[in-house]
Amino acid sequence: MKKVLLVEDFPVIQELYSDYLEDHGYSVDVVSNGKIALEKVKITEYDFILLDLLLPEINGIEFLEKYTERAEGLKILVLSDFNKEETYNRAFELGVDDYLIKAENTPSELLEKLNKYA
Amino acid sequence: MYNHMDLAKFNITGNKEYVLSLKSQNERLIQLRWLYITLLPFVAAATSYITGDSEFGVTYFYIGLAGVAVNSLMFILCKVIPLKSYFFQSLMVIQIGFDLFFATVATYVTGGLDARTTAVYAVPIVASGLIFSARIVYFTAAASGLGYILAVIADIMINHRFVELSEVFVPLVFYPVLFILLARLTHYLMKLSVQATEEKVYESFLSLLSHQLKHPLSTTNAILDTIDYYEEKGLSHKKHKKFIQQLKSENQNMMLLLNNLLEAANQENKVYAHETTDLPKLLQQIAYHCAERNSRVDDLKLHLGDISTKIVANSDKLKTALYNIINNAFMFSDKGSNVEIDLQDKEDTLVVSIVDHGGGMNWKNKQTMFKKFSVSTDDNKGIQGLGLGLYVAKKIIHAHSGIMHVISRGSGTKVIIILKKGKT
Repeated sequence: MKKVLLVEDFPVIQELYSDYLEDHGYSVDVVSNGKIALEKVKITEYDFILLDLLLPEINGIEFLEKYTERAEGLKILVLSDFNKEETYNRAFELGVDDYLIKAENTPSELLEKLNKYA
Repeated sequence: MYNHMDLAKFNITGNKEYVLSLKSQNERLIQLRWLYITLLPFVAAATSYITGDSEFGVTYFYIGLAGVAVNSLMFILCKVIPLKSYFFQSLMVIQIGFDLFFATVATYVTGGLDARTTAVYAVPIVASGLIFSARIVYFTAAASGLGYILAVIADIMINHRFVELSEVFVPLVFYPVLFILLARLTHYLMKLSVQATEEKVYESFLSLLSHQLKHPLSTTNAILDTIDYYEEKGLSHKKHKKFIQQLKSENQNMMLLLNNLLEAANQENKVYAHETTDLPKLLQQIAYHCAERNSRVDDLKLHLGDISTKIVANSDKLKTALYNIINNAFMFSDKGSNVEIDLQDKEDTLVVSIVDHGGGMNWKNKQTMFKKFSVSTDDNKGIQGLGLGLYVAKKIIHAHSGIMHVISRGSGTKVIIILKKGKT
């Protein structure tokens, strides 16, 4: 079973995406900010990280800057409505595998993308 | 505990830029001063010694030492004293003033009219541009001109130097005019720099605005997608009701964001109060709406009494103000804790109080709660909205000639609104 870390601060989105992915065979851990995400990745090996950018404490980009020792095979996908070119470029510089706009990636569309990687 | 965030300065590229921050300006000024008030005199001392002019060499050396002492003190003050904007502004002005004093003393000590230090005045004039105040730049230039003239006159009179009028006239006119021209150039560069920064902030803010407005739409999309999926599997009544409630909530979110944005952009501070509004009824409607939206109807406690009082108001705008305040009470308190709304009739006024038993506000939040784009963030609720709720609420209440107080000590927050009844 593929393990997913969903880094998302909004409770409704947390529930919708995590429930949907779990219904389709993924194991999902949910954290609400970059600081907790950094602690989580130290103790658990994930296959996917779904990363929102606008987060309290440590935002998504700061998480990527600090999370340098990554497991082989890990795929990091940004899942955010933040659509600024500078941020988009910075995210790819920091090693993300895809940048998905939330408004254009409903749970079923996200599942399709994850299945392609899997 | 809720943390503070200023959305207008939010930049998510990972580089923490201090946009027009006084602290960073002051740090740059101190760095610049290490060069011109410390390094330059030592360089002048060294070149003077090399060319055999030991008298000047000694003078410049002591100027350099004084520069090290003063700059070190400023550096320590900057690091040790807590960040307060008025302190940094004052510290920067003191530093520029000190540099002018140094330049004047150096001009006098190193020969007045013959001084090689005259060019040093240029540096505090240009450095004063870091304070981003045109008045300070031109004042520095004027003070430099005056300082130079005084240094020359002092040298002539104290050291009984004989100089021809023609010898002294040109430099005493030339240098002050040069300083004013430098100030003009500095002012122009300052404006260009501010413009570039403002454009960058504007661009960042537009991205953030787009994100916050898209947020309810993304959530709606996700909910509809999920409903689609569950309908194939078989959607329980409970889940169906939950999704409908969430859709209503996101729709309301969007309306609130847009209303607040329009109100914040509205430059007028008066409202056209033309309707007779039943305040208790309005409060009841809004309170239940917010409670349902947050799934906390059981937490709502209304004490409206038997008051059936009408006030003259712009009911749409008043609705926006009250909605922002009551919604905040639910947002910043936990399920299971009460949100109490009380209404009292005091002859000419009506007093509304809205109390929650949430985490309350820290010092920073209290200082910035009425500022535009200032949000409180919580790990469990995310960053929502545009930080306009309380700003807009206060604006509308004041436009109705009302008063709004927010009290938050320790845990919980109480908002008191006093509205005039007006003639109905």
